[in-house]
Amino acid sequence: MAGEKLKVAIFSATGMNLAAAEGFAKHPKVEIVAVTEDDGVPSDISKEWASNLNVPFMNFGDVLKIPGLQVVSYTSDMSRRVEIAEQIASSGINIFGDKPLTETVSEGDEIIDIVKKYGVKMGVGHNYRFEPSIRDAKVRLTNGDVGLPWAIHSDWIIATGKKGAPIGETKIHGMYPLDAMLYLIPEKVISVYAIAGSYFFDNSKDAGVDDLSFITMNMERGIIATLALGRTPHPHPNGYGGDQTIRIMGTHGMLYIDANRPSWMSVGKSGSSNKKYHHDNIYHMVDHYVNSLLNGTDHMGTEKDARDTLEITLAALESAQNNRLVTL
Amino acid sequence: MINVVLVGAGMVSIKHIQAWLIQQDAEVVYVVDHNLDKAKAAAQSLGINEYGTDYSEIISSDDVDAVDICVTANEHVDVATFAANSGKHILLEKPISTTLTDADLIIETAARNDVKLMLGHTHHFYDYGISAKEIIDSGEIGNPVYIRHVAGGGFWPQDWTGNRISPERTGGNVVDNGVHIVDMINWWMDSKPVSVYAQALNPTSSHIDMNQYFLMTLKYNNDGIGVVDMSRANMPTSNEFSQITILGTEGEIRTGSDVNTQWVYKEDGLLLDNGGFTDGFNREINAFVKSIIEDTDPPVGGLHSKIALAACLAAEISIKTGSVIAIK
Repeated sequence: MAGEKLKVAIFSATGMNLAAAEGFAKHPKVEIVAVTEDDGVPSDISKEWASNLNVPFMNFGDVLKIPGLQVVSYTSDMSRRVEIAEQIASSGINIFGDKPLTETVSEGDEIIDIVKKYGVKMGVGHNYRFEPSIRDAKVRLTNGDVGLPWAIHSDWIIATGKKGAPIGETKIHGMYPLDAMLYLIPEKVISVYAIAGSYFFDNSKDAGVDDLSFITMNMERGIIATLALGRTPHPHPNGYGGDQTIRIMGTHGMLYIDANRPSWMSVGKSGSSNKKYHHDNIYHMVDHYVNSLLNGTDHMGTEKDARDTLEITLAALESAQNNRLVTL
Repeated sequence: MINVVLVGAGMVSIKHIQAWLIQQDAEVVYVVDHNLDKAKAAAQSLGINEYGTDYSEIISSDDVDAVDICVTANEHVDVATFAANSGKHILLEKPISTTLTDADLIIETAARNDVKLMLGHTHHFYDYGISAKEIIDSGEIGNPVYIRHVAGGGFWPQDWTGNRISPERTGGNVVDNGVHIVDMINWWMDSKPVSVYAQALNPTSSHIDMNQYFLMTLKYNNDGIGVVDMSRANMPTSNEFSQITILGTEGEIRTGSDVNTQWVYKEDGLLLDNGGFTDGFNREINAFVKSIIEDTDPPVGGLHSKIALAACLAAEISIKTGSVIAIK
């Protein structure tokens, strides 16, 4: 409806949900109405963010009773993902959730059932598919610019890391490139093989989690898909924040995406660097979700997409653990 | 002067001939090929008039010191063991053979007859290969833990009758071509591959018995990851996309299509020229001649080549069975 604003509450303005919250906050069709925090979690950051926006910080139960509230954007401890999603959905409120969706595939399935049961819409913060270059590539693929794709290869290796992710790089970041790959080539992954290890960071070694993995997949229609995923302590030779590339081989051509471009390569008082421009994928993701709610249209980046990438991620880790192919 | 017999006057022999022509301490004195016209043409290009279809008599001659074997891979064992038993030094095109049994026989026969056996893993001698090895050996990037070599190109320049699509004559695409790259990764990683998972496709035509695209994921003895991504199915055929990524524990090096020395925009597309592929054959043949003159071990011996072959044969099994295969 013309002039109508979507009423959104933020559940924990931290981590990637803070990035999503800022996307909601600057959206012209959104009104942030409250901020809340999970029980037992220090609320200083969320309170400060609410204060900056001049919106109330409230108890979660009271937030769910706000008249006309349409969305809660949330992040939480992994053990609370399903429970919080159900509290939001059972109040008839739409959900925007942080990644990873859940800890396990069965929990992911629970969230899918919850969303269906209460008839709400859920978006998940897989923002990479909203990168302008990836959206452009989707149009090219759909137009048949490279014919029928037969292979897709993605690199997602973060440079200049201080330490490895506590839960491992595959679990913390795998969903971004996997989601984009499945968006570009929406074919089911049949089987997965992976090698993973802790090569760079002591904290990854100590925790027994990966800081680098190579995942290769067999998709329907015989398509081969690979993902090199990780974090290194050293800079990227080109001054980028890391690798964010996708290469698609087709029967009539090849498409190569470097999501770190376009960029300015610079050298100045603070040394050399690479500054990206023409991308704000988190805002594009929020915008897509907001418009789908206001216009009643289908949206992408759903809980089902998130469940599929989670399944692949966990299969890859299982494969790496046992050095064998895992069939999904 | 070292007198050499060239056996096999097919496509790769052209590169060998160019290298032999500039040798100061060795010369080709006779050319053998099943096809007399090919043998004659090759002899003429060498400026000699000595050629034939039978290798046994000429290799047995006391006037011959060495044999350069460029026949198809399935014929390697016969020619190489004959040369070794005749007391002639051997430069043998890759792959060493199409089976490990034949490889062992070649290595054992050369050793028993105390002749040099060098394998034509030309990439070992290209600028890009040497310079990467120098950087790694300098310790600049720490220990290599992930090496991916993407080598792409269009379909082989031949029709249905050509050797390059005959698995019987070549050992298959992985053995015939992948062995180059596996050899490089083994050399750079300075470790042995212990298992492989491989996938393959026939994007050009399902009627070809040999794949035109394959992907090998190798696990190394040092826990390193090796990836060989090799295509002869790129479209357009001029697309020779390449990308090499070597991640070390303390740094990384990369090269590929985007660092070509020349970019030429033509009416029919973009022509890229990578200066890193010069002099490989010259250096290879220089090294072979030097090892004979100085009576030293050649830089790429039979065992080195056999390790690469074992990985490629395991990959062929992996492609057929869909399983991870331990490398013998």
